[in-house]
Amino acid sequence: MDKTNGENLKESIQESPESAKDSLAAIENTMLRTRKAVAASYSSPLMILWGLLLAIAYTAAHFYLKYAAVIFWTMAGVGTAGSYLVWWRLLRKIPFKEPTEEKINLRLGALWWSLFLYIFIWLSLLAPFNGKQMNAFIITAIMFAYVVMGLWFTAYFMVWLGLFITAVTLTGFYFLGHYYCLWMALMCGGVIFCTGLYIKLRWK
Amino acid sequence: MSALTALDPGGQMDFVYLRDQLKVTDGNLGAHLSKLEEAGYVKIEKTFVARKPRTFIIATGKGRDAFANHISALRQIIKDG
Repeated sequence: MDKTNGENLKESIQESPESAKDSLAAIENTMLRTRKAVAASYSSPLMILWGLLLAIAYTAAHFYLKYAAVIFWTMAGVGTAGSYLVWWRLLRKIPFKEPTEEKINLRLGALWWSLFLYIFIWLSLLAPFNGKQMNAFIITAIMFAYVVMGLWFTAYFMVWLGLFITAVTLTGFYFLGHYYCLWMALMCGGVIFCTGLYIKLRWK
Repeated sequence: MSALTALDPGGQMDFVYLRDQLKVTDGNLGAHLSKLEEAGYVKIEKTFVARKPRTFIIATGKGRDAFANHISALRQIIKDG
């Protein structure tokens, strides 16, 4: 917007600098609130779902370590089915429609399926490893995707969440030994769940 | 307009959501939107989603330009103090 237009329009707006400041603040506040509401509509239900599933799976794995593989595969299956269900409901209920939404959704779907394919490839290349190593590797790889998505969509809460979960995963992996799963239930599942809930309640 | 222009160009916002955000009545918002539509600043689209009628509001290119000019003018007033 060039200065000449602004200057011309300025003549037609009868506002004092103070009230102009208030008007501008109100406009910026509404724009920020809308952007947050758009981000919340898409991310919060999925974060609540996955946070809850991770917390349950890690807690169950701590007490039934022998069945950890079954527990995590079940969680992945339920989570994937749940994600599609949530997404399907969201597309019907969501109060916004972006023109590029369909293409972005397809690309996001492709991104996550590619990531899981590559995780599978890397795991087969890196084998042998123990369950804890595999788990920490998968979580940090997923958090890497969070960071990339956050940077790409300028959704910085995803960048911080990705970095935070990576840090707690490494802390649990290197320092907490036997309590790794309980730590992850609280600090990974719990934090993702609470972040999703906070976004849902506060960014409406 | 500030809520509508926060979406990507061509982005649509649900009438009910906009009404709740602005804390106004249906009639009040409808009257404002009619004025904006007359000026060519917004487009109103009525559609069915899952067999339920929904109304979506879209800021037009002209509306976005006018809104950008308005913001620019406010900044100019603040700058000139």
